Amino acid sequence: MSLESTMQPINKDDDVVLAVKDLFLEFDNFDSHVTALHGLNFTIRRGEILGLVGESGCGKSLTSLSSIKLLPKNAKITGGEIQLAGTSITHLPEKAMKRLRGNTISMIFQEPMTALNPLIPVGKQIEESLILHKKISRAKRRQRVIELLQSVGIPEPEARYHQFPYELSGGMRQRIMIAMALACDPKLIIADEPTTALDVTIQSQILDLIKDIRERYQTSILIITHDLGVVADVADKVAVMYAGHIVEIATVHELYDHPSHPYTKGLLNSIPDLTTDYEGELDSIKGSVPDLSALPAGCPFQDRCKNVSEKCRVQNPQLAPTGHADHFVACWHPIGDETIGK
Amino acid sequence: MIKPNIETPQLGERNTALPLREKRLKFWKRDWFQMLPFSVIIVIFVIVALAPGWIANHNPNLTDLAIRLKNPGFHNATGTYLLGTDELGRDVFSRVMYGARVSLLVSLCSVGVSGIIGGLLGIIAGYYGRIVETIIMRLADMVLSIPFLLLAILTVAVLGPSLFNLIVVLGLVRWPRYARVAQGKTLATVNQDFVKGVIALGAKSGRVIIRHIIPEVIPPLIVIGTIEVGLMIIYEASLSFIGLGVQPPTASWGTMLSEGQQYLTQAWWLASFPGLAIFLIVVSINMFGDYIRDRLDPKSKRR
Repeated sequence: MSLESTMQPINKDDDVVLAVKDLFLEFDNFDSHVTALHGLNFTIRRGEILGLVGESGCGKSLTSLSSIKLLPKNAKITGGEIQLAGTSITHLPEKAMKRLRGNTISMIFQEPMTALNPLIPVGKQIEESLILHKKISRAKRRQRVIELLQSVGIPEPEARYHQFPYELSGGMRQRIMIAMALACDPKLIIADEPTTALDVTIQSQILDLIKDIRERYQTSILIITHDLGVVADVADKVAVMYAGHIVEIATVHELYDHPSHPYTKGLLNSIPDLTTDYEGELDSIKGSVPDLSALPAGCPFQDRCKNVSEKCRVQNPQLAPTGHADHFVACWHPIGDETIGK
Repeated sequence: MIKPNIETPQLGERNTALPLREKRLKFWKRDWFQMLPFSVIIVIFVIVALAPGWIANHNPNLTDLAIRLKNPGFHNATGTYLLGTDELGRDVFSRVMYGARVSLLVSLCSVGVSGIIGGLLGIIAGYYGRIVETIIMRLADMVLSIPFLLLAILTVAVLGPSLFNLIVVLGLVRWPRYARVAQGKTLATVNQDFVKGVIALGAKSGRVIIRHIIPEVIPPLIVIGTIEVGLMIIYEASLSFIGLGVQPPTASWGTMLSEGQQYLTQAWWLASFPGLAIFLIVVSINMFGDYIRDRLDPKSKRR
């Protein structure tokens, strides 16, 4: 079954902020040729938070970098299309892309320690994107920065304006980063592991802030993480990635209640549960991620899957509806679907 | 009734509440007294270089063979020779004073020229990479591989010996040192997340370079520059020594040093006093450079 027929048409919808359609991305090195993304499909609507989860090297960050067109020099989009707020950016020239970055789409980085320039006061750094994209007076810019600082929950914004990054804590710096991303009221914010470098209490504060921003500004957020807890907390929809494929995409509750892909199931099982009495080892997924430069024919997960069949070895499953609303899975033998024989 | 004598605890006077300008000023002023002796030395030398005639009590080029190689403190009808006389009977003190002009002009200007050329080329090489980097950095390697004197002789042969050409030569010879440091620092900075961050905000290359890269590159260049000042004084001396720099009888510390070394056993003062002058100015400028470098690093405020 082809995917386009199963998912909603993505062009006609005004509400769609980011539409990724059959995206292929390849790395070209001197000695190797790696296909890092295999035909990704997903959309983010206005005010929606999509969580992208997967283990290291599965292509989460590449997906986000292609949405803002900041790919490494040796990476190339070889197929498919990315639409940002209705315009296709797949072949957009760099100059036009610069106008979109920070304005329509912006990014929050993982490490608040290194993502701020240590030599410039934080207020000035937030001002940067206003200088770049908005033609407003200096006094108005300052006013806006103070507002932004307030809206991300920073006390004494007037004083903070003049402080250098080293004078602020990690959580504060992450708030500054969020203020920077918000400055021009973007339609989409990409948050690449926004809480990984923070401790747990600060994590939950930042996640609350992200949810709050979505409520107030109706900003769409693409949140990338390998922490399923983070996703459960903030996201509306979750896409699970494995070896450059999206293997399952569903609303949060649907995904956690009825995981259909064996990989998703495995991920959820591997989270230790305080109420369960474990004897011996925690659950884990056997085997390791296949080499991206030598993916086997058929399903990428075949060598680690308990339900593997002949078909899995030959044909790569595409995302298909599971029968539950808004739930798609790329598996020949999805869990909870007993009609397909083993 | 006894009033409880408890004052409401005041929030400590944190410098965080200060406006940026005051904060900066306060910071630059701190420890200024450490720099006092060095600043005084630099100021004195600059005054001397601007107006040597105010202090010197003899014509620096007036020869009098009757009083050659006299001790410091020698006294006759024409006056006191504070630092003695040289092999032609010229007053060493006056020559040191007049020499300051040439030496400081040449060393500071050549450091400025080579620092700006090298710094800019290094930043361009580091930022744009690829073919641009290859061309600039291989050119730098080439310049470094040509012996200094050979390049100097070539340039002077084409342009003719003069003070200006001396500065050009030194600038041409020394820029690779700055270029290498600037390129390295630029590479390190470009790969920092905050540079990726401003690019993700839509900043153009020029803005990234001016706002985020140049401030990172300048501090190490200042340190190199202050070390190079001393080296340039010596280089000027060696070029003048083989007749390609300052032309006699004009005094410069370098020429005095090289001429004086022939008489080291008979007249120690000939080489010692210009040497002392070089030592003082180089140490002062180095200390000053370190001071500025520390001020440019906001993290050093925590000390």
